[in-house]
Amino acid sequence: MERSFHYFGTYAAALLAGYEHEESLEICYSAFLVDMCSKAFLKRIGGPVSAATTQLHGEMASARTDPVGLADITRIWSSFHFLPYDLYARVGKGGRRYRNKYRMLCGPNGDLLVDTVNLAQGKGPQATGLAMHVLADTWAHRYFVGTPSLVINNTNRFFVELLPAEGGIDFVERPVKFRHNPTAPDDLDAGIYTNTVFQPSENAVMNLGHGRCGHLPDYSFIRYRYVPAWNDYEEVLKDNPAEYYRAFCQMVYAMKCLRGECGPFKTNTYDTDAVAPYEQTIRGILEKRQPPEGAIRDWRAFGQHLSGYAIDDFDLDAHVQEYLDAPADGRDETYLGKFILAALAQKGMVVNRVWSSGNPLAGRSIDYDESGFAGIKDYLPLVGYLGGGGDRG
Amino acid sequence: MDRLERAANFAIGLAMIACGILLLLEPKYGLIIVAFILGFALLLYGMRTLIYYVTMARHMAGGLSILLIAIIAIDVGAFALTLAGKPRISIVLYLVGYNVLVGIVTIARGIEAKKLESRWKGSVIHGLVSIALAMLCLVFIGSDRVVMAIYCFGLFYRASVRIASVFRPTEIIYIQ
Repeated sequence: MERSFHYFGTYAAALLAGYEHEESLEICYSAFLVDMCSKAFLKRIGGPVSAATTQLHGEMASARTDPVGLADITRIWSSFHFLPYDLYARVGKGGRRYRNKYRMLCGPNGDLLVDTVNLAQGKGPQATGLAMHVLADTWAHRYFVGTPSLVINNTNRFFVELLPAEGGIDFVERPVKFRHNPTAPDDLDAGIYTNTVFQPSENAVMNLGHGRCGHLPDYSFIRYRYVPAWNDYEEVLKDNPAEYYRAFCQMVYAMKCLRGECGPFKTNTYDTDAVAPYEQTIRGILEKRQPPEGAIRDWRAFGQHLSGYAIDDFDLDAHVQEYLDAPADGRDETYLGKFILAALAQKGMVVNRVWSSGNPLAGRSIDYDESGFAGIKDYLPLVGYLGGGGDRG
Repeated sequence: MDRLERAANFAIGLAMIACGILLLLEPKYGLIIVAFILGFALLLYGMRTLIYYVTMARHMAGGLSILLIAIIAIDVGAFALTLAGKPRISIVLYLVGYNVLVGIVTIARGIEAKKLESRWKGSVIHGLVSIALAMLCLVFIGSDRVVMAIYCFGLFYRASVRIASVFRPTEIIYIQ
């Protein structure tokens, strides 16, 4: 998903869930910060690099692909952008390595989503926004894994886009053309998109996530059919307008749960009632075939209409000075400090679940209650943040 | 990494340094040994790709291409082994290709970091050094000693990174 949905869309969902304007801004800021909080950004502010929630192109290109390097990549992308749907899925083909990759497939309404939303309970707008980013991406990025994998993430030439037929409810098909020039913008009119180059190596970073089908999963308006590498030559239909609408309704429901209004979060539940009065407007924005700037404009107008307040653009530096000015022992109380703690908690939780399922792709996880504190020191502040550890703390 | 992996990485790192020293002491024989290793590595890559096809890629849509790549790599690897008699050419080609690629990628990372006003000089310097090493290979293509020194420089660097990684904690703590 793009800035339009993660920032302005989340803002609107937060308002519909009952948050005030200021709280909604804090939530949506955090939701989009997940796409911006790279190691380079954290080094700049002097924050812990373990809290990175994304990787820049250069960071990915130079990332190591040995088991340690792969675990680092997987921790970031599986925890925040490609949350695994079923870590214990029956696979029925291939060996252990194949099974481990297959089980990282991202999808909505998995058990890990429940854990993600529960983890944000009572942890403020930063954790809420982060959880909403993860939730929304389970819809956009389904059918891909957040670890480099040719056998799962690859696509082939059978890739068609479904375009609404003129004046009717039917669709016409148009083959998708891919090119590999990263500086060339996607040509929406001609149906020419940029994707990553085919790399016949299982763990090449070009095979991470949805790189092999470009930005298509991130466009709200697009519908397409393709043959994913993992599906025994069966094609898959991706209807983004419908799925993004579900994501929006699920975000409203999840945030109501976090506000204590709907009980504990359950999967396959959507607050369609709260969204119903705006359904036409939202579907109109989602279905409109336009470049990202247009979607930002429409979502912003919708959010402003809901709240009656102007919504500022996302500014990566908005909270940096507060973090830099805070004393070392007070940084965790700043906006960015709380975001960093939420990110570390989410990463720790997902890695633990993956490791506990017998899957080594995200690296080792140590249970604090059993072994005390060991491992990466950046995670030490979580002892206070999550209140765990009993007398160890 | 568990203890066994750490011990293995440490031992491999030390072995790489020992090999580097031996190659520096005997550059003439070193060239032949390295050329043989590079050819063998390609052959090994082909065989690993074949195993990858059997265990994983045959389950993937379009996986047959991996089988073809494996066969071609084995073929080219076998051919590269025959070039071990003319070691300097194959080593220089390897060094130039490797260092230019590393240089471009590392500089790109530095430029990206600079845009974010983050630390960038280290990456750019690293990238420039890599490209300079590639250029040195071309300039001193006739010298066994220089070509071998550049190869060993890379070997020492990778060994240091491997050994350093042994002492870095990689486990993530989970707090309930």
